[in-house]
This record gives sequence, structure tokens and C-alpha cells, in this order.
Amino acid sequence: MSGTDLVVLVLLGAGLAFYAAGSLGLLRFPDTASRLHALTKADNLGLGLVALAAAIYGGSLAMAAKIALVWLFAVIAAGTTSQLLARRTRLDEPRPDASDSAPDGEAR
Amino acid sequence: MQLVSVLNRLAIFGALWAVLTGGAVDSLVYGAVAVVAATALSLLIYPVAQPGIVVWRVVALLPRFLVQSGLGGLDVARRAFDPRLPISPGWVDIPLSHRHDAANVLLGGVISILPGTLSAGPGDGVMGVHVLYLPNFTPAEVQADETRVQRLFDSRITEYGVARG
Repeated sequence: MSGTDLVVLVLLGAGLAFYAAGSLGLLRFPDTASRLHALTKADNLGLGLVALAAAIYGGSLAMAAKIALVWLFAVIAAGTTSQLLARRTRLDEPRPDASDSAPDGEAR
Repeated sequence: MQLVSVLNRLAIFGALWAVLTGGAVDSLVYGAVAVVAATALSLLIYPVAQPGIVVWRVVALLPRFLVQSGLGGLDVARRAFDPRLPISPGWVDIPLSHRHDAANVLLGGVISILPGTLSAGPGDGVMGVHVLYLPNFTPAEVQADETRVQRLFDSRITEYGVARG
């Protein structure tokens, strides 16, 4: 195994770990908005690491540029859709007090 | 000035097409149609009379954005894996100093990538922000990011400012 293969493997593994973290957050976090945190941020980093691995594996600048663009579009889409979902979530929530910090959920 | 903006957009969409297709010269005709259509759509959605984004300022902000998005992923992953589940979520309204919707939606996207915060979009002069761990949250950070995002635009953005007070 070459040094490049090792770097690709490590990046892929790390990327998958962040995808797992995103899914775990989706299951464990108590409310919709908190779950969105996990899905946007952890998955964004996971995709970034997997994309970096793919770019290095591809081995050409043209391939790397294409993958960077795909990552960029995914980040823009995630940033936009998460805002729309968060807005909808907040409208649906009963809001006795905007500064209320204790959501009623099953947060253990 | 307006012509320059239109040519800039044509160049950007042309570059995107070239990168995505790997410079497929044999389908140049389809690419030309797609690039012109994309430029026309962008002019319809965001006319050149609107404050423009200065590309080199975006490039200058990119390293910080990448580092922060990495930290954001690390932070939420750590909380998801921690058996004690150390989160204390809640909503906060942050007053906005500008009323430019496109800039504020862009700010919302940036906030959503940063550690611990998620935007619910601008409205009524405030940004609805969901915070994952309230004890660590300071509104000044969001306001600093607002200033950073405003500076990505050219001077016309100042027309949308409102006096704080």
C-alpha cells in the first residue's frame, strides 16, 4: 500500500465517522432543530473528508476541481434547506418564551 | 459597469460548465446554451442593480469559513457521541444591522455551518438562531459574522443599513 492509499483510507474513515456522528445525532438529539445541527454540520464535514479522499484518489487537478464544486454545491444546498426546515420547525413550535432554554424532550 | 457584471456572470457560469464537464469541447453548443440560460436566470433572480459580491473578498474569507465548518462538525459530532449528551438547545433572536434579504440569507447559511448555531432565516429585522448549547453562546459572534458577510458585498450594500439604537 502506498502512502497515497493510506491518506485516502484515513480520510475516508474519518469522513464515515462524521457521517455516523450525524446519524447518531439525528437519533439522540431531542428536537427537530437540534437534529438539523447534526445533519448539516457533521455530514458537511463528512462529505468534505470523503470528497478530499476522492480528489486525492482521482489524482488529477481537473477531477479535484470537479469534486470541490460538488462539495460546494452540497454545502450551499445544506445551508439553504436547513434554514427553510429550521424556520418551519420554529413556526410549528409552541413558543411561550423565545429565550426558554429548556426544551421539553426526552433528553435523558 | 452593468455590462461588466453580465460578462462576469457569463465567465463564472462558463467556468463552472467547463469544470463540471471536464471541458467537453464536442458538446460546446449545449454548454453555450446552458451558460446563457443560467446567466439570464441569475439576472432575473438577482439583477445587476443589486449590491454585487466581490469575488476576491469571498476567496479571502474562504480559509476561515473552512476551518470554522470543520470545527462545527467536530463540535456536533463530539456532543452526539458523548454518553451524557451535553446539549442545551434554545432559540435566540439576533438583531440585524442590514435589511438586504439576499445578504441575510447568505449570513444564515454561514451561521448554520459555524459551530453551535443554526439559522432559521431572517425576518422582521432579526435573525432567528437555534443554539445547540446556550451557555456557550454570545450574540457578538453572530454580529461579527454579519459584518464579515456584509463586507463581501460592494459599497451599495450600505444603502440597506439601519441605524442601531
